[in-house]
Amino acid sequence: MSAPPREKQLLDTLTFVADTLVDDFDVVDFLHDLVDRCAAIFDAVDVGLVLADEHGELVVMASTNERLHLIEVLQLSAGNGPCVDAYHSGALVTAGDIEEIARRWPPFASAARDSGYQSVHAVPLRLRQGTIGSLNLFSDKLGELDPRDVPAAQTIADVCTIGLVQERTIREASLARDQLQHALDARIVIEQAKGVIAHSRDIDMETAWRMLRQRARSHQARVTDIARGVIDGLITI
Amino acid sequence: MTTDDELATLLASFLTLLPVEDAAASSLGRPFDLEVLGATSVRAAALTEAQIDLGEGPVWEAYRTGRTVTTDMHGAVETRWPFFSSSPVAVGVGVITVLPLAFGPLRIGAVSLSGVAATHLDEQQMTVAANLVLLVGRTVVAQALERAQDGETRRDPVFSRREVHQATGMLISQLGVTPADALMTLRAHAFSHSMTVRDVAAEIVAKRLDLSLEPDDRK
Repeated sequence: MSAPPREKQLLDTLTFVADTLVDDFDVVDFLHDLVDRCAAIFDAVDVGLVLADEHGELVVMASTNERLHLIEVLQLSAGNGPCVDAYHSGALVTAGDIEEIARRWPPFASAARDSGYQSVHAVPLRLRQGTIGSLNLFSDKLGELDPRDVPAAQTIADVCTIGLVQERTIREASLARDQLQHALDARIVIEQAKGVIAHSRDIDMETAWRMLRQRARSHQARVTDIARGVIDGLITI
Repeated sequence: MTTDDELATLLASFLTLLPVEDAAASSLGRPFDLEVLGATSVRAAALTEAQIDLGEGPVWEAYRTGRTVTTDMHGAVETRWPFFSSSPVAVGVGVITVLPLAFGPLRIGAVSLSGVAATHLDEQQMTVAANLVLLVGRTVVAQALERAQDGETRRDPVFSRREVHQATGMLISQLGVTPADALMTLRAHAFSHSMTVRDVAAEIVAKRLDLSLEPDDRK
């Protein structure tokens, strides 16, 4: 059984990200789904994602397995490793065999070897002029990342960045919608009720408003509820 | 700088950076009220307000589709919005470019750019416009949240719909109809008398206009 063509996998991933950018967006789920898809697309054994927190410290956000998670933590605590380099340089970092890994990042090489990783590729997550983290692919096959795969890998990383940046806006928009809906309903209903009272009692809006509030107070009810009752003809003031 | 000032500054930026003479921002649906939020001129406000009153026009299309809409008012009557294109405010207006106004996934309304000498915007200008509209979206939401918290103590924005809601209430009492029918009556009167909905509302609230009377006895 052959795997679906690369283009389709990428399109599916982009669709997945677009669909995810809605109200109930959960960033943790999003990142976990993304690393799983990445592993399937790039034939990587394991995929991990690290992000810089508000202090610029890298934190492991998602991994396809616990073993990789530990390795990433190792890199970060040592301040040494491909994911750290990708973050600092903003460029793709790739090492095609274990000897090269050992040469470039000695502390992390033995852990990598023990896990059976032969090659590693770290893709920076770029945001405008800076880098916010990196997407790291660990493979049990020899060889640097195929040049033909590099654009696809960067696209996934870029799409991941967009998702993360949008997440905050989506949360804010959701909160705004709820608050504003309530305020809008209250405002319309109260103004309409003032109009009803002003006409039926032949008074001005200011007096109508005072009477509305007075009724709410004396009945220990919310002004909005009394206003709605007035409009529906259930309450006469 | 208050959010009102921010909005005014942003709208003025459109005029500085782009070949347009007028800019207006509007909110067109829940959870926002139906209103002009800010405009660089009376003409700009009137152009959008007419579309709010008529329920048709490029601002509605941009808002509903989430896409930029361009219309050249020089040509023949636009079949997409026949009432708007034949209304007095549309006379002499050149090209209107309307961008949808949103905050993330939250749809707000539209930003309308126009002017007698206005031309079609090229790709680079559209990018500038789109970026400015993003900032307008943020400002509008901040402004709306502020007003929601201030409640009744805030000063009325220039294009407030407060009187429209009050007039609707008076009609509910006068005619014994539902809020929706009351508003429809208001809009119908505005349309048939070539007045804005807000002007009719002001007349009703000031008790200079009584829609429960026979047409000849009304004023």
